[in-house]
Amino acid sequence: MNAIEVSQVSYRYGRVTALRDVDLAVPDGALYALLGPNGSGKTTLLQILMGLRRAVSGRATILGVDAAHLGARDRARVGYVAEGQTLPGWMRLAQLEAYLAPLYATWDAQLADELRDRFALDPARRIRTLSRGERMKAALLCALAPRPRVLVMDEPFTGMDALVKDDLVRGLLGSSGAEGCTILLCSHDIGELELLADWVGFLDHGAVRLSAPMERVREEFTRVEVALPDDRAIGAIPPEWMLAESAGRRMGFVLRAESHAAAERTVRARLGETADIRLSDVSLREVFVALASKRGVQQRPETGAAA
Amino acid sequence: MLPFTVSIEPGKSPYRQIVYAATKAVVSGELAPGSAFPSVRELSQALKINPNTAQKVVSELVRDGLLEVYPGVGTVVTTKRRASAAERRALLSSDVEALLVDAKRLGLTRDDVVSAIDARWTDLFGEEE
Repeated sequence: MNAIEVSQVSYRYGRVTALRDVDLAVPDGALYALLGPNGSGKTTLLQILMGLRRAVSGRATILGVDAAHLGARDRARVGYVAEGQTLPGWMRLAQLEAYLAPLYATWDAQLADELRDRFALDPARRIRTLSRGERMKAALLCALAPRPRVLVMDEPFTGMDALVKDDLVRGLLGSSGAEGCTILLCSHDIGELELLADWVGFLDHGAVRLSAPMERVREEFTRVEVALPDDRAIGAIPPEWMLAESAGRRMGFVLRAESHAAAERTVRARLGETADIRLSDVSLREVFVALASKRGVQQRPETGAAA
Repeated sequence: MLPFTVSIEPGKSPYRQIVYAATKAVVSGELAPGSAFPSVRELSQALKINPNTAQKVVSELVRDGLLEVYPGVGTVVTTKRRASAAERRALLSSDVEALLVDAKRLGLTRDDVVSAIDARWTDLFGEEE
């Protein structure tokens, strides 16, 4: 079962295509990190998911409901923290909570208390007097207190210092998994998401280049270093060898295959059984750089578990 | 704070790194037999990793016989077996391989490596065997 499904969604701002046939699925209970450079379309996609914009084509659903037709009851089950969340500055945090609580049948005041303690937020302070990090924590508190089934956050870590990021990460970990809350986070910075997310997607220039479980991405991408038998060049560098660089007799590249072992097999098939081949893991950052370098080539993303 | 030493290097599978660190800690005795092993939630919070990853780690360690699960009590370091010398050596095998490969590349002989190890052991631990 997928908490969020996006099917062939496209969006244009005038003549600029912001999203291009986007296919993406976030399985129930997943912690999904949607990554991509600034301007890649992440915010637009989230706005479509929240029914704030209407896709030009395609369909998006959240908890099985068409995003364009979300009703009050549907919205009550989704927590949304937009980028640079603007909370009413004049309100005290306690007032904001009192204002929001009656809108949600599932508002959990005890959870709100726990989160306020954990985030060390003073309910009597006016929101405009809170620091940037405190405001983000307040926004997260308000999004989590109704115990949503889905939490969507746009750039939650941007501009936050390390201590705040720690608090946010722990707050998110507390809600995901066992509680069954599905979390979708968008960011241009991989940072803590590499360890946090169990699903990762990469949006680049409005197109999905990757959407898969984190473990599978780690298994599929291998950094390969080979020592070429002599200075004779290998001939044409195979296009699957991404980010290929060579220096002297050594060549390094990123290869995508079923597994690290499969990657080694294909390289050995080309270079011979006795070739000096070294394999290592690829960081998520390198995966994205490698995929972005193949921008012109068609990518087929794997989507989430079917219902 | 976790009862064993682990630091996660970016770029490499966190799951494998944690399993390795925990295995080393159990085999070396840093994690005493019978002592409590952190829960999935504690691992997840302490290392800031996804709870599924933490769960995979615990499952793997249970499968390897390093941890035992007592319903209602929690996860505990096994009291059932003491790691054999062979198992403990196996933990070092990738470090040993790296050392030997580097030595070979530098043109050192087997004797050079053994002498180097002897000398360093004495420096660090004195004359104990």
